Order: sequence, then structure tokens, then C-alpha cells
Amino acid sequence: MTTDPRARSEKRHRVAATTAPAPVANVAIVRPRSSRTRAACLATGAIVAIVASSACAPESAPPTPDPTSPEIPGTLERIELSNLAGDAVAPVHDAPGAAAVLVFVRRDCPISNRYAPEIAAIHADYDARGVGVWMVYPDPEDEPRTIRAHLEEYGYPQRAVLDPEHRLVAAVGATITPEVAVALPDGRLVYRGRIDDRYVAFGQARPRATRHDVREVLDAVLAGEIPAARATEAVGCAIEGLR
Amino acid sequence: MTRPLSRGLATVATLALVVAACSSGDERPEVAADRRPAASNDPTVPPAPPAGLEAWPESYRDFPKRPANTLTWAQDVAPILNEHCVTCHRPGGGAPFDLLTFDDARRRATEIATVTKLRFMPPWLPETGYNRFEGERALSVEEVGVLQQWIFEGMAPGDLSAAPATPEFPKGWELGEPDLVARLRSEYRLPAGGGDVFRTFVIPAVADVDRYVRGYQFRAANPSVVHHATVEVDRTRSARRLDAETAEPGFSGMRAEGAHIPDGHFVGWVPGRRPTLTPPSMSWRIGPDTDFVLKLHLIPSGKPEPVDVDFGMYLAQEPPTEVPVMIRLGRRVLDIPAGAFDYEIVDAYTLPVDVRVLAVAPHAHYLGHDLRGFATLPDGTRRWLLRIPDWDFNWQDEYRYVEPVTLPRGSVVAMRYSFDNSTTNIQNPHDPPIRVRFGPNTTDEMGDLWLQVMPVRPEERETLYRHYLKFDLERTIARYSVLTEETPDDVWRWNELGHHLSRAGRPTDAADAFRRALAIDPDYAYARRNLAAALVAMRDAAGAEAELRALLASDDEDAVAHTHLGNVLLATGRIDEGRRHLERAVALDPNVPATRDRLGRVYEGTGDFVSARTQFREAFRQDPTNLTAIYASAWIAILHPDRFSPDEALADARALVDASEASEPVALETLAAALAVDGRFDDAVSRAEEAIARYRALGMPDGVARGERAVATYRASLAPRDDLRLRF
Repeated sequence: MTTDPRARSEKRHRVAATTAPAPVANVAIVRPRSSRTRAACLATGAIVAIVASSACAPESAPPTPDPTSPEIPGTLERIELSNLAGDAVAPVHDAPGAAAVLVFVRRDCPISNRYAPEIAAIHADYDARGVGVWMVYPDPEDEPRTIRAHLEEYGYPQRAVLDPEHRLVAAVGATITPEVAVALPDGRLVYRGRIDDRYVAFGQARPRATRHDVREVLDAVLAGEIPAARATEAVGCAIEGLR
Repeated sequence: MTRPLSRGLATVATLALVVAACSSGDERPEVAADRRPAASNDPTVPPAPPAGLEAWPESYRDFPKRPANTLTWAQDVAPILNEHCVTCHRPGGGAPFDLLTFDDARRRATEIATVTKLRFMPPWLPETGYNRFEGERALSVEEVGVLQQWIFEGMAPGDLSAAPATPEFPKGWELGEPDLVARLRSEYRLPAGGGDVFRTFVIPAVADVDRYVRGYQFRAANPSVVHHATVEVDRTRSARRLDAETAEPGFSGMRAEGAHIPDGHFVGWVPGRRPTLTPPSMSWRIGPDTDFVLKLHLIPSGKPEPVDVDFGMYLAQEPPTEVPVMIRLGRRVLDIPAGAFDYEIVDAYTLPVDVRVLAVAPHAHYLGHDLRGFATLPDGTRRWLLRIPDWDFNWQDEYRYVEPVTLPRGSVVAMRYSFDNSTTNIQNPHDPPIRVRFGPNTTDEMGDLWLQVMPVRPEERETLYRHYLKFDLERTIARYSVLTEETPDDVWRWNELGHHLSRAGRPTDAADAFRRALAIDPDYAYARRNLAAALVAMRDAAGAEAELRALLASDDEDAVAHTHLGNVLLATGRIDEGRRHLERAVALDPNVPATRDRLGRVYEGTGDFVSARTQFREAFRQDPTNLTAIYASAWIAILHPDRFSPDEALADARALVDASEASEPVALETLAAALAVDGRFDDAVSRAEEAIARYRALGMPDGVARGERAVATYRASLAPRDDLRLRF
């Protein structure tokens, strides 16, 4: 921490190199322009690190990761959740077809809601090709009535399950809404993360997405290629707050 | 806490990669002048930052800490949220979720921790410590520390029954029932998806007579999709015309030629802004001709949304006596290369009188980066007016000083803005970056700093205003000089340069510019007309005549050219020919009252009184502020009873009285004459005596003398004569 007030203003615009950059083939990064964007990366990391290491002193640093591991679970076990009619369904394993897309959403998350048109478009574009889009609601306060209204209001595909105990959330490793997981019918998870790269952090959105991650993965799967499992960072509201 | 722990390590690993990559040196060379020691006598270089600024903590451990595990929502967190957040984060407040209860805060803990540490929320762009503004929303380091620590320690609720009461906000019209409401209701639906929408809507005039607005409340039916609103006024109907061009309500973009901010005031809305009343002496005028132009920044929500607005106004009884002057510092020659990280613009203005700066409003688009406004006083003192190191177009606002900043005459107010047109600017509208110029669309760029300024002595307002207009005009001329050098074949730019040179009283230079335009395009009628007008100003009637004849040779239906040529011919004694051109002008474009007035005078001069009166009446009908026209019409009727009936004279006289201020003596003496023509000599005498009394009170001896002649005439039951009328 510096005491020269002029240097402080400089620090907003320069990022001190504190660690050597790691090769990051599977995590999309945009170089931050200011402390706001830069700190978004730090802050989210810091909070989860703090939460994760609550048994340790707050100052302990997170473990150094292995950059080649995909950081997402390899295969999902069969998990049954209630759909809107109250029946138990297993979204990944019961879905016929080429792949299942799990979309974790909250009714009260503005970023999640803003993605409704794109989610509806993905459903429209891929449903007939054997891709099932499932809306997953992790908020314990949701019930079929409110979910139906939400699906209707925002034009979402009408296939939804409730996950109040966060079982599917935990199995997939979802932390944010909206966040998407793409799984093959045998449970192999090939993607988890953002829908596209439009949002970089709270209040920092590109005018247009440059990478449409979910569509890319689905296109690869439908072309017969099984892509290496990949994770990206989603921006939105934390699922963790819903308990 | 075990669930997050088990998942957390996996997520931490991912995020640590993110952290590492983010930290990989984004070094930029120092280019801006203010990062060197400031030259103390250059008023365009920003001053040193104020002493005692606190550095913002880099990580959680650097925030101040309270004793461990003592923080609760009820005691420590709720007061912070109530004061800084709830104004938007409540039902109807515009934010997408509430933060009123413990449960609200607990469900949003991660977001709260992230956005407050980032200083993204509460939204407040000016850097703390430079100026004190009203409604300052920023959290202090201590307050953010409390929130971070409370969340880290597990979010204890505390004694909910002892929590502060949920803040109450007035519903509906917060200042009471407004005196006047302009409503926007339309079929327009903001699309569900896509990018931000910038759209302008027009509410046609609602005032029946001149009204003076001292406060307003902007109520969007859907405050969470209206991200920002600017309200301007338009007396020219230009915005209405743009609106009518398509069936869809409003029009895309922010361009409306005739719209401007109301005199001296910022009018608009951002989330969380509360309505206020200015003192009644400081209102802004709207008239029966004033349309409201709502420029809205809309953010899609995921489903189609209506955009309805109620704009309620609170009125003062009297016209304003204190009208602030809006001073714009800024540059309109912006040419930002693709990839430029630190493109700078600078502007400065020297104040001619003592002033108080009441408020500032910065403006730039998505490339704006570090915005600085500052002043240098004659004794060398430097003052900051505004510092926004990290501009975010989405959260622009206007800022009102807690204490107006007093600046003595001779102070230099200046601005220095930097722009980031590189890929590190996430919000760059272009990827890859492209060259960006000045323009009103968000894909163009702008750089303005508006200062709302009051002269310390009200009688000096006129001096300040004229001085600023001159500065603005010179700046505009300088801009067009640069632009015409850049694109010497751009006819429009040469014409604009000439136009502004004319306004500046430099007709010779203006004529040169117009000639340059005509050299490129000899058929560019605007430039030729303007050249003729410039030649008239240079007293070159022959030159003007030649240009106008050339214009008419190529387009005989150019009403404006006919008017100008008619005027030139009249001025050089060719009355008949001049008259014919004015007649042709009126036939081609019947709705120009000034031409009607001119033609009326010509007919009066040639003795064609019936035609003269027709033209004068029409001029007045088209422009009810043209009192000389109805005055002339009345006296023609009065002095020629062989052609006009007393009723006609009375009609004109009464129209003049109605259009004039109460007890206007010229109107009264005209009415007196009309009454005399009608044989009502006693009434005529009374009116004439009223006129005399008014002339006496106003200290106008000629009027008194004329009035006395009138009284003598009417007492003798004689008709009015020519020496009883005023010749303009």
C-alpha cells in the first residue's frame, strides 16, 4: 500500500505483475482496462478463496492450480429432480438425443433474465437436432406456479426442474446464474460456464458477444466430435446465496 | 460452511488462474501530462490531487477491521444499506432486486461483497476526496470493510427486532400533485434482447401559456429498463418532425436539431435521483410551443417492455430572475485512432465576471476514460471541479456542489479528458477498434464538461452570457477551420464555416468561405444565398445582386433568393422590380411573416393601402409577436376612412391592445384613434388621456406631446391625422 496519493491514481491504470502468467488454454480472459474490471477477477477469487479457506487464516493464498486439468467433473451421476408436474426426472440421463443443456437460472437475477432471448434461441435452434434444454431452478423459494409464470414471461423453453437442495448444482459445480452445463447422454460433462462472453464482470459488458461458448460446444458435439471438457467463468448472481 | 468449502477449492483453482492472468502486466507508457509534476502556471494542466487522499484497499485483508464476530445485520449492515442502497434497491426503485431485509442481504452476499469492493455499487463516478457533492452515494473504506467482514464472518443477523426501521419513501408524486404533467404513452416495446437501446421520444407541448418550472419528477412506469434520461425542450418542432417520419413511436438515436437543454438547467433522471425544487427565482420557461424531447438509454430485460413516462412539473408564479449560464468546455474535433489508449482533449475558458459554479455535468461515450475539470484563479490558486478517473458511460450523472465554488473574474476553468480506444476497454463499441470521430451516436465519441454557473452579481449575467457566446462562436469557427482543412472538398463544411463567420461579424471572411464552397459545387444554393447575404453586409449590393440573379437563373422557384433580391433592389431604389420579387417570394412560400411585413411596407409606400393592410394583417397572424405589423395595419385603416370602415380600424386596434402588455401607451393611442374614426370622440379622448399618463410615467415627452395633440384633435371632434402616429 502506497502513501503517495499521485501514485495511487497511477495504480488504478497499471496492473502490477505479481505472479507469472499461467498458460490458460481453457479459461477465456480479457485484459482489464481499469481497477474495476481487474478487481472483479480478484474480488470473486478472493471471496471464494476466503469462504473456502474459512478453516485457515484469511491471509492464506489459494493453492496453485494445475493448468492442464479441466476443473469440471468428468461424469455426472444420475440425479432425479422434480419437474413442474411433480414427477421425478433425471435431466441428463433421461433425455434422449445428442446432448442435454442445463441452464441454471434465478427469477430475480437481472443478468439471468437478460439472457432469456438467447436461451430461447438456443432451444429454437438446437431442439430439433436432439439437444434438450433444461431450465434448473436452485432457489428453494421457487415453486412450480412461480416458475411457470417466469418461463411464460420470458419466453423460456418449457422444460424445467427444481433443485432446492442444490444436488445438481453441486454435481455440476455451478456457482452462478445464468450458468450452463452441457452433458452427453451418458453423463459426460463437456462444458460448464457462461453462455457467451458478453459479460466480463458486473457492470462490464461488451456491446456484443465475441464467443458463443455454448453454441460452439453444441456444434462440435452435433458434428460428432467430443470436445475436451472446458470450463469458463460465468458472470451473474451467486447460487450460494440461495439456501 | 462445508458445502462451499468442498466446491470452493475447485472453483478457487479456476479463479486463481483468472487472477494470475489478470495480473499479467498491463503496463502502459506514461503519456498524460498530469503524471509529471504539474507546471504551476499552465491552467490547462490539472492540479496535483488533494492532500490526504486514502488509497483504496487492494484486498480484503487491507480493509479496516472491527473486533472479530461482533458485526450483525441489524446493528451494522442495515444502516449502511438503508442509507446508500435502498433508494434504488426497493420495490419501484429501479434496481433489479431489493435490499430491505436481512434475507435480502443474505441472498445477495456474494454480489454485495464483489460490487462494493469494486466500487461499482453504489454507482458514483467522482473520486472521493476531490469535491463534495450533494447526494454523494459512495461508501467509505470503513463501510465497505464492515460489509466485507460481515459476509466473511458468516452474516450474523443480530437482533432483528432492534433493526432500524425499513426506510419509507413517498409513493407516486414525491413533491405532491404536480401543477402540470406531460405524459408519454405509446405502443413502443423495448425488444427483449440485443444491446442497449438509445431512443428519443417526443411529448408535444402541454403548456397553455408561458409557464415557469421550478421542479419536476420523472416517473418511468418501468424504472428498471430506463437507465438514464435527458429531457430537452424544442420550440421548433424539429423533434416532432423526426418522430413523424416513421410509424413507430420516437426515433432511434439522440439527434434532434432544435432540441436543447432548458435555459441554464440540467433536466433528466438516473436511478436513485430524487426530485427537488429550485428556488422560485430560478425556474425555466416552457411555452405553448415547447415540446419535450426525452432522450432515453434503455437496457433490455429479457422480455419486451413498454416505455411509458409521466413527467410532472411544479411551477413558479413568476418568470425567473436568476437564470444560470451553462458553460460548455469541450472539444468537437475528436479523432481517436484505433488502438489509442490515452488520447487527450483539452479546453479552457476565462471567466469575465465573478461567478459561483453550482453544478457540473460531464459527458463522454464509451471511450471516455479519465475526466478532469479544474480551475486556476488569478492569484495562482488551483481548484478541482471534478475528477472521474474511471468514466463509465452507463452511470453518467450531474453533480451539484454542496457549497458552490466561487471563482473570481479572470479565473480559467479548464477540462482535460482522456479516451481509451484500445482492446483493453471492454466497452469499446468496436472490436477490433476503429478510428472514432466526434458525433452524437454512442459509436462516435464526445467530450464535454458542462458547468452550471451563476454570476455573483445578477446584473453581470448579460456580460457573462455574451462573453461566453463569443467564446463559443470562436471555438466553432476554429473547429470548422480545422475541418475544412482536413476535407477541403466538403461543401457543407465550407458553408458552415462561412455561416459562423457571418455570425461573428466577419462578412469578408464569410464570403471567402462561401466562395470556396461554390468553387466545389456551383449549384450549392445555400452557399450562394449566404454569399449574397455576406455581400450585402459588406455593402456590395451589386455583388449580392449578381449572386442572387445567378441563383434565380438556375432555380426560379427559390423563394428565399427572391426575397433577398427583392430587398436588395428596394434598397437600391428599384421599387417596382423589388416589389415583384417579393410578391413572387410570397407566392412561392406564403408563410414567411417577415416577407409579408416587408411587402406591406412596399405597398404602403406606393399607395396601395388595401394590399398593404392585407400583408400586415397576414404578417401578424403568422407571427403574433410582430406588433409593428398590426400597428401599421391599424393606422392604414385609421388614416384612410375612404377605403376602410371604422370596424376594420377598431378590429386592428383591439388586436394590438390584446397582443400588447397592459397599458402599453402606443396601443392605447391607436385605440383612441380608431374610436375617433368611429365617431366616439369622448371615448377617444379618455383613451388618449390614459396614453398621456403612461407616457408621463415612463418619462417619454414625445409621446406626451403626441398624446396632447390627439386629445385636442378628438375634443374638436376631428378625425386622426398622420402626425398622431408613430413612424418606425
